[in-house]
Amino acid sequence: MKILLLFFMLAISYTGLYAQQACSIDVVVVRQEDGRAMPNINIEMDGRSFKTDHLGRVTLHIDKEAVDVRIRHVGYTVQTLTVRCSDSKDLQIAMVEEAVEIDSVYVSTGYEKIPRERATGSFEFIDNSLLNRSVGTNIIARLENITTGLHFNKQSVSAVGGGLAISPQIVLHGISTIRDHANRSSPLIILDNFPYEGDINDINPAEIDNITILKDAAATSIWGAKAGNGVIVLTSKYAGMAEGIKGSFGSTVSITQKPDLMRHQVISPGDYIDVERFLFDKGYYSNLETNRSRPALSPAVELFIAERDGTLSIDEINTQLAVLRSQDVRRDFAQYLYRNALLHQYNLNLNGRSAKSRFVLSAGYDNSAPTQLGRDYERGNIRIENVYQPTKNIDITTSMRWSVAQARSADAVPVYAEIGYRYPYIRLADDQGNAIPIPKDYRLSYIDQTGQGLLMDWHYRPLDEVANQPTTNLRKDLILNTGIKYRWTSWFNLDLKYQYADVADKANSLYDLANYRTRNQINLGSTISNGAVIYNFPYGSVLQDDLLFSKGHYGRAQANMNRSWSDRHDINGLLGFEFNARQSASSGYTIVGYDENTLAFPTGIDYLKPYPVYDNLQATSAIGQPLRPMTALEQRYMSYFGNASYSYDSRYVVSMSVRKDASNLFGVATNDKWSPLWSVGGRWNASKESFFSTNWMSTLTLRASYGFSGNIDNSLSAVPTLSFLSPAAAYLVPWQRAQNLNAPNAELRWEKVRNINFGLDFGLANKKVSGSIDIYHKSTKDLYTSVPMDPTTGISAMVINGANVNGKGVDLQIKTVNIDNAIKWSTNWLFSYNNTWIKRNFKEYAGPADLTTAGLNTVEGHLAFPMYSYRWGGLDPQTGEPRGLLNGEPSKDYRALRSQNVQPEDLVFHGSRRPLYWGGVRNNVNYKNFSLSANVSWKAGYYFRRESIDYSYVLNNGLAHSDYYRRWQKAGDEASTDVPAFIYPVNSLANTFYANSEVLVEKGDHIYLDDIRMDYSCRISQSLRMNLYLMASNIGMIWSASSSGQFPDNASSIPMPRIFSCGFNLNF
Amino acid sequence: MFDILKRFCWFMCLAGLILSITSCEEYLDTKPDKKLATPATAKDLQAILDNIPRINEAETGLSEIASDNFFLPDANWSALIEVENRDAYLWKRSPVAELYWSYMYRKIYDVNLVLEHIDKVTYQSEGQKNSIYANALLVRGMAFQKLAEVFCVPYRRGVAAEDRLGVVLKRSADINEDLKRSTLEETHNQIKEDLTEAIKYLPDNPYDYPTRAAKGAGYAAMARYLLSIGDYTSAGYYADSSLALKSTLSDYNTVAQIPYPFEFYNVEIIYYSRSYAYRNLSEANARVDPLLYQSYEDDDLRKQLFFKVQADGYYSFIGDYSKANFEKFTGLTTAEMLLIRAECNARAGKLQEAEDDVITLLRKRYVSNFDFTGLDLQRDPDVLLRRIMLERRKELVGRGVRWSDIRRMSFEEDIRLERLLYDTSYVLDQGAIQDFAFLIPEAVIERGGYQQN
Repeated sequence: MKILLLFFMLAISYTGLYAQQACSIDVVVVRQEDGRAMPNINIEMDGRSFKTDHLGRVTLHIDKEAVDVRIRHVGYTVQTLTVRCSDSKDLQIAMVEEAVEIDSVYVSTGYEKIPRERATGSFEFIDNSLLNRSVGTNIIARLENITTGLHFNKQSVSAVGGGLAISPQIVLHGISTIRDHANRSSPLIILDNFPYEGDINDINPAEIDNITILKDAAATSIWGAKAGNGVIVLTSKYAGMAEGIKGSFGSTVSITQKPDLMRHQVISPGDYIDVERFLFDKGYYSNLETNRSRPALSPAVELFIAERDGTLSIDEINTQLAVLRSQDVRRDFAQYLYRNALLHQYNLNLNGRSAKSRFVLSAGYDNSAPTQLGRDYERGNIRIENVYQPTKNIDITTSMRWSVAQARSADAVPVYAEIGYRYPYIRLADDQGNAIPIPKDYRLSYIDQTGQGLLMDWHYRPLDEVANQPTTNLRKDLILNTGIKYRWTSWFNLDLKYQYADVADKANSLYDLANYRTRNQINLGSTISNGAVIYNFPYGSVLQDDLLFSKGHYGRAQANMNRSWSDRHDINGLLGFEFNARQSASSGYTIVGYDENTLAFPTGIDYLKPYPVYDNLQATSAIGQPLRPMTALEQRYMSYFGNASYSYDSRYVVSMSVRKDASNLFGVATNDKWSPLWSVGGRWNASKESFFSTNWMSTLTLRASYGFSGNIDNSLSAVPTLSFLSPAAAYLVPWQRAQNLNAPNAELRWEKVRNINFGLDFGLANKKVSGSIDIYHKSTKDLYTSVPMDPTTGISAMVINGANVNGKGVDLQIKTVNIDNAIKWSTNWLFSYNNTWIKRNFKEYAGPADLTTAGLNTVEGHLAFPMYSYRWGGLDPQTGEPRGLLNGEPSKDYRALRSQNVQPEDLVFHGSRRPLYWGGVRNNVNYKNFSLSANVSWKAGYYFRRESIDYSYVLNNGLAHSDYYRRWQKAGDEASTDVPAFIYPVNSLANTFYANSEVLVEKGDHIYLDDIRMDYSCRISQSLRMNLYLMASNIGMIWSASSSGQFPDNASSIPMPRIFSCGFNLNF
Repeated sequence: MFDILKRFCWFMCLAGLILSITSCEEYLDTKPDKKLATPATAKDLQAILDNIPRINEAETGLSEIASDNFFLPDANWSALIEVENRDAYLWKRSPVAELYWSYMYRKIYDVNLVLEHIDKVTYQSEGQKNSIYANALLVRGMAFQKLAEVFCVPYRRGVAAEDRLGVVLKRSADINEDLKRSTLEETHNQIKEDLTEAIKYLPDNPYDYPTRAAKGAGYAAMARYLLSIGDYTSAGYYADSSLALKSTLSDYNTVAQIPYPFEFYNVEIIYYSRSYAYRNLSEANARVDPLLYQSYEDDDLRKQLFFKVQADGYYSFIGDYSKANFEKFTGLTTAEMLLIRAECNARAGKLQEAEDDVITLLRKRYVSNFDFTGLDLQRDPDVLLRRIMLERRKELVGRGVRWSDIRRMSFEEDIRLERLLYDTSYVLDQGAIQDFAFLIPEAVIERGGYQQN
């Protein structure tokens, strides 16, 4: 801290010595195309060279009448002009891009913007046009298939969810933190200057100008203990540089097709009825029939009961069964509960400049009606940034970003899940489209006759619940920024920034009397006595409010220097201190017996008092605490950081960066809270050497970096921690309870990630071929891992520093210009390779069960995510049961087959569970005003486990995979099938064995046609340009190594729905 | 504009404050979650012990699964999802479901944490400290007893048990502790020690709700334990001590003749606990042994209050004191204490006292005008004892104590258990009972490296 103050003081005293000149001209260098400022541009004047600052400005001090100025920048045509003192004191210079512009970018780290030719680290830059090639509402999802090194893990992404925000887990450069909590393995997201900790769906992609992905240590170590998983920096649109007001307006309409449920690989409803008949004859449903909670039974089973009891005639039963057999619940779902989703997006962007200030304004509105009926979503965004310049050397920046998102949902509408629907042949509506009650919690025959007509309607009609949207989620996300930058000299400035983030998330649910949930609660709390109903659970609506507030304070003081000497030496550096504190608090309440018309609700209710449940359908119940337990979380960080780079003659660059972090990790001695992380990097712009003169290679750069970043998890603790719970209502007891939250782990350490990166950027054949390649080695020490514990400890699993892993990989991207005349055709080739393996393991091998299911490998020296499976011993020729191999002999001893004695080498090792190689090919064709581009992605070098029949799902979920038809049925079948026989009672061990055996493992390699986009742009008038586009996404599989018909990323047979979009953009 | 400058000044002041006045250490000492606490006050420890679902409930239901009070019809047995639970019903030598072990050790972890902090926190009174300390020990002692009952062979007082395997005696909250199975002798010494120490410090007066233990509960737990190892003299003494503190009985003549008739915290409950056994004991699946049902006389009110006839003609048990469907009440009651005292007195030859206790109980269980004079139980010690054993079965359905009765009786008489399933008979004969212990769950053996039974 003292060093920092000293640095400031020195800097201040130095300014006084600075000599003044007679005439000075303020130059702003902008890109001609969009008026965007160009920082770090070299301006040569009289044999001296100057650099523009981050806003593209430089002040030239002229000591003679006229002087020649030359502006050179890679990727731009050289500008030469004469500057005179008699000219205007403000000069704007517009740079014109050269055709190929692979290097002409400024990567942002969130602390500074670095011209790419000075960057020693591995940065990937996604510019505005590439970012806007996709049309989704989630900014991070737009990165899929256009970047290298970034893997989108779509295991949990489903086509049938119909929800809005599909947020696949993203992993940069192989594995990082392994936690059940998906977000913890995602890269750190930086919005402009500070970490963004809100919901990514609150960011309007139209506000974002570009994205930089920081991959290696030289790039990320400035973010220290948060950067272990990589960093993604989102940079908002800049305040305008050009005089006057410029802007754009755009709109997009997207249609997402209904999911194709008929593609789900299940047996026909009629065949499922036969399965139910079989189970009925075995007495499978008899205990459900006598269960006092009257659990729901399927319509077919009800008919079998009627047949057994003789309550219906055989003819009637057969007629009804025949009707059931002809029905398919998927048809009704598709017809009544799914639709083609519609998404509208509107965006407005204005920017401009006046004498002393510059501004940008973005506004957006999205409206979405997703595929699942009963849901809708709206989002409004506004962002304003103003840069005010009271004097030449002070910039005061203020900005405000506000978003309001509202999602409404009908929670009681069923979803057709991948695990099937309980009653595969049920109808949701009659032929006239009227809602039909279906079994849900209780047998229909029970609720039809119980209650002497005094209870509320107890039927559940999914279609009626569609219109009843009880839940509204309203989220307001506000970010205020203020910053002041003071330039003491042209090469030294001080930057103070403060950000305040405020998120208010309110979930409001009003379950009125029409809602099944409310009717069910009231009925369960009803007691019928002497022909009247006593409502133990108050009669009325149920109102549920949950509030979540979070506030973040982020502050940073930073000193920047940027100095050149004698045209050859460049030093850039920054030194700073920052803190952040993020508090979140939640609370909530439930009001029962609520009347939404008068806002009245009953008082004096004993919430803990147990009441008898109607007809003893459940044990005693109680209304329960009206107040939800409150939470209050607070995370605090403090950091010092510094970064310096020196470049000699624009040929050699070395850089280093250091950061020290501390946080309020619970229960860790303060001394352990500080953890220093650092990196060094170097760069050689070989093509700038005088000896470098080849015709075939126009640019060549070599980069190397080495360093550390880290990961911290504040939810973990080194001491035993209790979490207080509200008194348990069901037990009458008013005493407060506490639960042991996590096991203390005094040895808890921060994850430390070491990165080594070698990079090469090249341009060949007059830049007809250009690209970059990065080769990295990543080693993570003390990886957080959730490990299962010996239950004798009292703890089932805990997070420990479980393993050291090593990873290596390659990111390669090449752009080729194939044809470059009237027709322009270029191709982007993306290739990523990543392999991660276990270096050291701190947990012991615990048998094959862990290895065959998803999780971190325990075998040292082996892949971190391997696909292991049980060796297959064929089906038992007598019974059709699955068999494994035990000591080379077929065996049905499933316990022995999965016992600890089974070593990894006794299993089948297929390869990696995650793709080792992936990439894409994007072709762009331009002719006059038209352009066409198509993106094809591919993944290779991995295996997945396809879905097959699981007999416990057959029993409990109404789901029978179509492999059922290929099951073993008689001796001899084992020669032609691997699908086990249906044996009742079901052996869960055999099921698990089959599901994890080698016969279900398939190669995941595939090629997928992501999208095709067509653009037409034209100039309507001098100042008005228009762009029209059409796009189709998720088009479909081109080739798959697996013949299972299942998509390898999520083992689902229902394909992701196609999306068709069209839109326009006006630039003025 | 001024606003911005003003805000900026504030920020500078704030930054200055943080930099100069507050040290970084203080800034970072804030708790990340306000609900979190390291156990620091008596309130914290008490709150751990009041976490009823973990401390009082989820007791292993294996002892009732292994007993002969209930049976599963063929179809209901087949409908059990988990193969472990189908096997446990047939006393198969295969590992049981993990919950039967892990839920017990979760209790033990919680109370060990309390015990480790017992001298590190502040109390309002000495009595509060004693109560927390003793309650924690009592829970641990009872948990070890329950575990020993199902995962160890029977223990007989005075019979050497150094060479038999006991349970894992987890006595600290340290999760890195190196553990192995104790000897049966060590296990039972630990149970006795925990219960004895608990009794010393338990408060005299009972709490408002029987989820916390007072002295009477300590005596009762000790009586139940001593009876299970055949230490009849001491068992009788402790049952008597417990009854001296509380002897209230619920008069079934005043209980309404409705399904699920019993109040949640029945007046005779000394200590509340409940077991969990998946669907094995659920009302819809499990049927009461017909012989047991027939042993209730028509004037016995329990015959109506406890049972409900099912479509297959057999009866389900609905007289549970916790009103639950899947779970079974396993707590301590004054009725059980009366029966223990009666049995111990009968074995000691105090026939009159024994008969008095039996009659005291039966008066509250039979119709009020029932004439007990004809019983004349004291005419023959054998008749008396047999009657007491019968009354134990009839009174303690579902409580888990039948299994320990079977185990101790296997050393006194030729007792055998039999299951009929799909016309196949599965038998556990006298010798097998004496040698029976469930197999420890696979995950425990694999992760803990313990010796299997």
